[in-house]
Amino acid sequence: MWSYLGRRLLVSVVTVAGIVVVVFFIMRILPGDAAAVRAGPYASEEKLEQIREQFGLSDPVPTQFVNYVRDAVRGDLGTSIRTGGKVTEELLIRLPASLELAFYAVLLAVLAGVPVGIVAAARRDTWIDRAARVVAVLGSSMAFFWLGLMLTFLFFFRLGWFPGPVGRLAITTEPPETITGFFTVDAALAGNWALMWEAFTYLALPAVTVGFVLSAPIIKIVRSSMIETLDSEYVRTARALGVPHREVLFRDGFRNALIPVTTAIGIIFGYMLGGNIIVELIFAWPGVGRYAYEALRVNDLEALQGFVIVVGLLYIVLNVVIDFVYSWIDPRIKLGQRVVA
Amino acid sequence: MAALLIVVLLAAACGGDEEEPAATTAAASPTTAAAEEAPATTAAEMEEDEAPATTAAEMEEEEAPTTTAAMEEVVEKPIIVASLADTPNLIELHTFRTTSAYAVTNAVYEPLIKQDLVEQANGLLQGSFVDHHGAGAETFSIEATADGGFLATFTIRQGQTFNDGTPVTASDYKYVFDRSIEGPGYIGLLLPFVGIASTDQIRVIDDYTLEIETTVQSPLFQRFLTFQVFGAMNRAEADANATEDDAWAFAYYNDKGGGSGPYWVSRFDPDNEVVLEPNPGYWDAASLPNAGVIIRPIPDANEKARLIAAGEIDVATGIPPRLLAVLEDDPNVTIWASQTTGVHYLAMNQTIAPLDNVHVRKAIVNAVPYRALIDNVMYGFASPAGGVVTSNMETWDSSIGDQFRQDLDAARAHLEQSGMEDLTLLLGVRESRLGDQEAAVLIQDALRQIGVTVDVQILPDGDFSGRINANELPLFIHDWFSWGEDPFYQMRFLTTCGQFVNYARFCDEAYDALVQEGTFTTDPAVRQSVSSQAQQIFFDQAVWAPLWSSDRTSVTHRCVTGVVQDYTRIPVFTEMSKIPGC
Repeated sequence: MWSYLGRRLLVSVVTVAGIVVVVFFIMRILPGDAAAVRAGPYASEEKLEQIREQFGLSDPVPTQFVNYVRDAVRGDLGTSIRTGGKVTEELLIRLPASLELAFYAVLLAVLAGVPVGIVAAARRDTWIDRAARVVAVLGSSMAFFWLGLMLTFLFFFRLGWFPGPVGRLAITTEPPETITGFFTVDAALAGNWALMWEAFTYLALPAVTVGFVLSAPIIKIVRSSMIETLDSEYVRTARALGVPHREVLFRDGFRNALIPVTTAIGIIFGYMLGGNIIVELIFAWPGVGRYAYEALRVNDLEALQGFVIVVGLLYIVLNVVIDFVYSWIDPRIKLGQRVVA
Repeated sequence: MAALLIVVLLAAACGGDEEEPAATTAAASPTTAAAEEAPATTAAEMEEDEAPATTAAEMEEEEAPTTTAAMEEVVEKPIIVASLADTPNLIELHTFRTTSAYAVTNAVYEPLIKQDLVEQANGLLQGSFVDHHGAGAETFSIEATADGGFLATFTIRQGQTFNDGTPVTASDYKYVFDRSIEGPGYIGLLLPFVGIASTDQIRVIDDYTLEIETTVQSPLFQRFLTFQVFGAMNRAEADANATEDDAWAFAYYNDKGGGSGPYWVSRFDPDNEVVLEPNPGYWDAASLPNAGVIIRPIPDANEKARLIAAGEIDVATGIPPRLLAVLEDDPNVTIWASQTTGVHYLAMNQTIAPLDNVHVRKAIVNAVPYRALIDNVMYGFASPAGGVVTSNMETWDSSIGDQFRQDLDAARAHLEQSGMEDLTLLLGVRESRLGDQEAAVLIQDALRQIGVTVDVQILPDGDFSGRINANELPLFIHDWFSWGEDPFYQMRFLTTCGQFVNYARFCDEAYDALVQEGTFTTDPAVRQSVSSQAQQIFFDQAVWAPLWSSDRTSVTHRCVTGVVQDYTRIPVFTEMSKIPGC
């Protein structure tokens, strides 16, 4: 396992270097002038030049790249031209909000999608299966923004069951002391159950919005994997031998279907790590997606670069975790062993 | 609920019974809090007492119980929750920033003087264009000098402090002017308008007396002095946080307020939340009708409108006209609309062919559907612009401005005179401006009717700015609002030769001479005369198509009072409150 980790670390370093290079140069070819936005309407050429110099934008691109890499290695992803703050700090402040939303949304998607997929496969071609397929199609075809707006309209504005889309907590509520950055967890750790409940109520609508849409691919993958497994010869043999239905379904069927499902969940979670810009905008969620959106609007290159690099790093970590999950699900998969055909 | 769902589904898979999921309910937390405050000492009392200032930290620790009968009265003041047009990015006083960020600094920095407020029939508190009163300065006088300038003398109020307890002195006001003139910010570019170019013109006579001497007699002088960018800055704090590379502590103040105004910034989280708490050392703290302000950006305008209607936020700006028209029927919402002197315009870059041809420009000016834009893009929340000097501005000449109207026959005639055929023009608009994009479509359609093809290109704001600076966009929609609302200031910046924001690159020496004359005269008759002549040149040269003057609109919950409109169009919170029991 250690040799596997070592190799993954090496590959990760190369991957991160690749991300940095690609992101840096793509940002440089984007049209626009961040200095002009920063300077505002009273932007004399001297003023623009002064800003470019202040933020290192007037240096030759290779010099900018060397400076950027040197600082990035030290954890400094530059200064946002929009806020004047350190990008690393600004991303780290916002990341927990996105991760908390992603975690609960994916959790909801899995908790809803996996059972529905299993049931649909187990009751193939019944009304349950057809209903599950309808749900999957609805989820696949529904846009985040539409669902988010409808949910807030219905459950906040009309029924008043959930709070309005003002962020992670009520406007006048003080957030819990930061331990993990997840308000639900930090409030629980502080023993403040009312605050934890409040955090859950504010999470509910955005998490359901994302969770419902993300549950669609999970339903499809679980269903098709389960059907494939349940049609396999060893399952038929197990049934012929009189193994109980429940045992066949979960021990033989579901466990073997878990590998593609894990892959799908990993991809979905990775996608969510970068924050969901639309959902964060609709629910005023203070995550990295919204940060990236604001940065993109005004060509805040350092902020955008930092965002992409941090998300890339999270992807890499996630992939390693998924590899470990594979080996846990299927003991035949040995990390670090070469497969000889 | 999710766990229940699993149980249900797994039970179904295994032949179990179905169960109904339980409904989840949540009660929204209240959005306002009643703050209990002991009545603050009046400014007059503070002056008499000259009590040593208490730091904010000390005040928190002390929270001394009030014992006198007069102080037993508990005043409940609401916290105001605001969601403004954009997200606050930084609060450095002399750095260009977003409107929300200007609203924060407006609440934090106290200028020497302020506009008198006049209550309108609809309850709106409108800043007077004529009358000003002392703010950071208790009294002030402005005299004409023999050299053709002004000498202004200000007596700084004693007893007022910054939020850390440091007393405000004349030196703090001089510091902010010095910083404007010599610092790296943009404010220094504006001061020559009022005849200030050197720090020597700002003199500290003693701790509480400040003199400002100008080299010209500009009508804008008093108006300039009301701007937040000339509010006292805590000089001791700034000096302590200055560095060799940053002598004026710009980096330090990116996320901190250093003013002596009604509020101080107790929390600044860019894009997410700003909390303004009353500054106990503010000279008029007793009159503040609220217990603080929370600014929470709500990026989605639809959600913002719903939150206002539901009473979750008290005041919002930046609601698009389309939604304002819907909200007009909502009994829980009050829309405060008032005309302004700002301008939205279709610029025609005269360095790019065929827009160097005046007849092409006139054809475009005549083709623009001005009324349709106000009705269908602004939903009536605008008035005709009528030129670079807009229809609500002093010295606007209606005999000229009213000629900006759609006349397709005249447009075709000008196009024929230009000798141009089969024209195709690029029209750039900003991605963040939905109204501009809608206007572009209507303009595209109108120009199609005279045989001009327009390609509308929606550009990210950064790209847009870069392209207009580089003269790469022939047609584009832009907007402007002049703090101080002075016609010559507006003309000078937007349309005189060589100005960096003269994006149309119009240049006419006779025009410039008129603007120069009007800028530095206080005689109303002369100002009117030269303004009219300049407006005529602007019209004859078809510099822009002035599209509309958008209203300043704020939306509040019906219980909110004290909406102010001053020279800057920046939201003001100092008068804002809620009707008790509403």
